[in-house]
Amino acid sequence: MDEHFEAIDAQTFLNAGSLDARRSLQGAELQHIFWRYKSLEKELERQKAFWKSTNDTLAQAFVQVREQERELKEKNELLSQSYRQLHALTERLQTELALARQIQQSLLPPRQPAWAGLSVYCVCIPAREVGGDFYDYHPLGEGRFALTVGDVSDKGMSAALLMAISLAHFDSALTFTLPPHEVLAHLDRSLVRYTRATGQNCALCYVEIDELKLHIANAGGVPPFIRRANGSVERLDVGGLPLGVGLGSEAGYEETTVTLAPDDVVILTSDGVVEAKTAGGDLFGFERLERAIAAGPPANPNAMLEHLLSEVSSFVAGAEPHDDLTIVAFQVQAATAG
Amino acid sequence: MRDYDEVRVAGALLLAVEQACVNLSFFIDEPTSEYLRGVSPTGWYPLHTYTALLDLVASRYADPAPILERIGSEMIRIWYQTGAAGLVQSAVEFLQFQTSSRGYYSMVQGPPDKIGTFELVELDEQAGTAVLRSTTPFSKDLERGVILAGISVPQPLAYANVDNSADVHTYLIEFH
Repeated sequence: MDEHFEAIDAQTFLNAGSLDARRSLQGAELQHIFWRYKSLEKELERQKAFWKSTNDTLAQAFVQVREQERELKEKNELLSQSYRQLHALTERLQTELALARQIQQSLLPPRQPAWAGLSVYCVCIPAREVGGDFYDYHPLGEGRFALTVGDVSDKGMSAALLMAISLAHFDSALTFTLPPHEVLAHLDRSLVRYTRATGQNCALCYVEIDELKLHIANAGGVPPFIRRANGSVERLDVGGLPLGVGLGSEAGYEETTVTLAPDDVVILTSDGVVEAKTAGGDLFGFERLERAIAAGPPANPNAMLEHLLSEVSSFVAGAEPHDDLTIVAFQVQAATAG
Repeated sequence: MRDYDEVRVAGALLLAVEQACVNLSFFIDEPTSEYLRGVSPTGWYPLHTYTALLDLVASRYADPAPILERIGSEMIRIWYQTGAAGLVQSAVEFLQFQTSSRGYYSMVQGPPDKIGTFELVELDEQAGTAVLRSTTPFSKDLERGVILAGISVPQPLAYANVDNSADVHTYLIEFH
């Protein structure tokens, strides 16, 4: 290249005035213009290649985005379908659970039997739609009554089924006119075949009232409390293994008898009372239950039951109940006592 | 690339790729940056780090050739901006410099048969032509960009072209 050549570009060439002026351009100048032209041509080629690559890349990305959009739409539709199915299934399940709860509640006798001689009030609140707690009672004739509070281990449908079975077997056991400790041994043997596969069991406290005698047998349930007319509270600790394990019937169940006074109130509960928890995990516990019973209204089983429910409710302060809660409170009426 | 395990490249080369991509607004994301984590300009790094880095950038484009060419050109522009302008002042000086021990061979380490050659086979300064043969393990598209900017930047040229379309290893160079 001519080192002394003064570079001119195509625009200068075109602006060179008249045709004559353009004709006056000499070899080196024309040569430079030629190379500049070729240079622009090459630069154009490179630019085209670059922009084609960029454009093709964008086009590919666009196609990919469209494809992903389509896949996303399909997946979204599938997800919506699944959600709808799940929603329908949940609704059906909730309906069935509500029905199961109704059925389960219908298995329990009324909350207040109309008996002469014994004033009884019961409540059973399942923690879930269906639970494993139950209560039951039967008049045995000649001023005698049988009452029980049971608590099947675990929750949900399996617990509800074992609860129904336990209840049926309890009713059946009472036809044999057995003493309380024998009733429990009989139930333990009867339930083993239902609990063997699942490892469940049933804690149950059973009492019989024979005029002013209270006979107690306990298969792992919460011991009964007596709120005496003088305001004192007695916890009747009677031990025994839960039903359905098969060991209680082998070892035998203990039986205790205490004498009641006419204004005494007897309280049976499931462990849902003593194990009621606050959101922070504090337990209601036996001591608090004992204090609540002592502070409860005297000689009025219904008011005592409401008082205990209120105490538990205040204690947990709206925390989600983690267990079923059952209370039975009763009082021998003066006529029977007499 | 396993055969090239013994070849190492200067950290400056890796950082030049990164800076070129930044200057050109080419996409650098987390996986790309991962290759550059802790790289020092004076350090030496496995060749596969360099090639994997470029492959990753190139893989994002439908036709990587013009992209790599631009990266190569931009790397040389950066090189000139960071002091090389004092070493090289013309297209011929660039070709001589890059094919000398101070050029390509100063940026790679390894067995000669693996680092290959970057050799000025012909040079006709009057005609403005040269032939450069490369057997390096580097991208020939990127090298084409390196040579093109290398001869164009130091002095104003009416025309510069580098063509290896007939044989990728042989660059036919024109500068006027």
